Amino acid sequence: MNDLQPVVEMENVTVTYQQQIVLEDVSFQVMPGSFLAIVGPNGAGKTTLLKTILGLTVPASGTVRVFGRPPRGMGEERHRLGYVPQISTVDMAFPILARDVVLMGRYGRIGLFRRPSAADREAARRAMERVGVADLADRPISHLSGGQRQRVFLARALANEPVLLLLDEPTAGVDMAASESFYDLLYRLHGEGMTTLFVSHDVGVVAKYADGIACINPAHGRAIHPAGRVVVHGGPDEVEAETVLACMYGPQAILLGQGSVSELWGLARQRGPLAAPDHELEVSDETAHG
Amino acid sequence: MAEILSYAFMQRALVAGAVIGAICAVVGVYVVLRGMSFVGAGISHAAFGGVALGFILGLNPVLAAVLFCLLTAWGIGLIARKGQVKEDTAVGVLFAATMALGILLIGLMHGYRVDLFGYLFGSILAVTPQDVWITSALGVLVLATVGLLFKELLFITFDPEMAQVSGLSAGRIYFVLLGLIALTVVVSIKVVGIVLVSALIVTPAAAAYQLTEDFRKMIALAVLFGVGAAVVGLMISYWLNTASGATIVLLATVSFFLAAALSPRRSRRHLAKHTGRLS
Repeated sequence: MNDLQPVVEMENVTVTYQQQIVLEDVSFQVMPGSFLAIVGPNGAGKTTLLKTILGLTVPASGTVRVFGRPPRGMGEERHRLGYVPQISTVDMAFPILARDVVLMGRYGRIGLFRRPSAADREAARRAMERVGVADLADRPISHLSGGQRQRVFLARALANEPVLLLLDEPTAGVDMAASESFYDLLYRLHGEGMTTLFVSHDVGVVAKYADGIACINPAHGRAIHPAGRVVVHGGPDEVEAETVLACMYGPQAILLGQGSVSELWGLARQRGPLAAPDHELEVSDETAHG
Repeated sequence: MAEILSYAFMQRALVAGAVIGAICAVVGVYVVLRGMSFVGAGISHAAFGGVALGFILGLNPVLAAVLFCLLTAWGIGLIARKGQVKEDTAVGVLFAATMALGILLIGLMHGYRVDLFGYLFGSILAVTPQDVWITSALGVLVLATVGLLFKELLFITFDPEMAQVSGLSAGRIYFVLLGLIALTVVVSIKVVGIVLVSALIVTPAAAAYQLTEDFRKMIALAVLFGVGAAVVGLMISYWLNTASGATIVLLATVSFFLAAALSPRRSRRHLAKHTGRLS
């Protein structure tokens, strides 16, 4: 595939769920080598956007192309796509060992009725090494910490040797140190050529790591970009702090504690993942809904 | 002991019981982990409609029940997949309806007294040589299907969304699982009975869940509990002259409570509650 072709393309995509419009007329592209953050308030459709790219959700109108193909007809290209779901969607009390979870990343390749081969196990082992969880292979997932689980699920995605990685709030519910080292790891993978698309709620993460920011706007009444519901900005250098914060928390968001929005942005860029009780960096979400 | 084994009816019951204990346990692991216990209960009640239909039409009641349960199971799946109602609502609607159909049909059979008690609660004496063959054949079919689709069934049970993303047809595998539950139910009704079979599916798997955090060990332990409860339960039911299904299920229930009391999961859950989200 040509390096200059977008990895993901959406054109005028509208997604509805039970007669409600979740995404409206979304058009955007992800170029190879991007490290793109998807931000937006709760309920803005961030997860739906990822699911549409994955083919789990079929748009009511518009076209989606992943590696130049429709998500539901990707054939072998499907294996070039890695996905790390929101951890809350998986039952962590499920009786399964970490290495068996990672091996699942290979299942799509192995094919119906077949058993995983030595090569599949080797790929799973390498993926675990790559993210630093090789020593946890024989542990049940219920024994792992939040940060370790995230790495195991990242290893599952990597076991398939993808070139595009989609992550849905990968550090939700994980403590700050683990969150920071997780994003450092993602950034390193990105450095090795991984095109990465991640949903995040964390201003610090977005400010420090992203080289592009896709804003999904809240409901029409409060739309920041009335023309479409997704706008892709440049990296944290180019985008205005107010724009990103308004997009993440809604236009009515106010800053608590001392300092201006741009100071907050500058601080967030240095620090990365935010500490919850740090009042300097606390943003109140006045428009919070569901 | 030797005396029990010398009776042909008891040999048949023990063979059938061991097969049933094993397949109920294996299928039960998926049922428990996917939270489909009510589906098992629903399909087993549908078997009543199938048995009654078999008698009315002069067919082998077990084979009639196989068809009827498969249709009911896939009906539940279709309704649930279309998203009109939730899976448990689909079960709630269909299981009462199929049971009602069975009661209605039985009522229409004037003067023909079927041994319904045997079908409802199981009976050692009810297992014919033909039943042993049907049970064994369907048992092999169920276990072979689980063996062939082992990784697919595990994947859709653990993370159906990711299974779909990987290119597995999660929907089709779900229908295979529903079919396996239906076959398991029908195979079991002669020994355990329609009313109690769902317990033999859920309880051994639930007991195994208490004792391990490795999927393969959970299957092995569930089979141990299932076969143990079936074989020992049949012997006790012979000695005490009690209903075989009830004896087997109560024995499985005792093993569940013992496993729950010894469970390492219990202490860990307690711990998790106190360390909270930062775990």
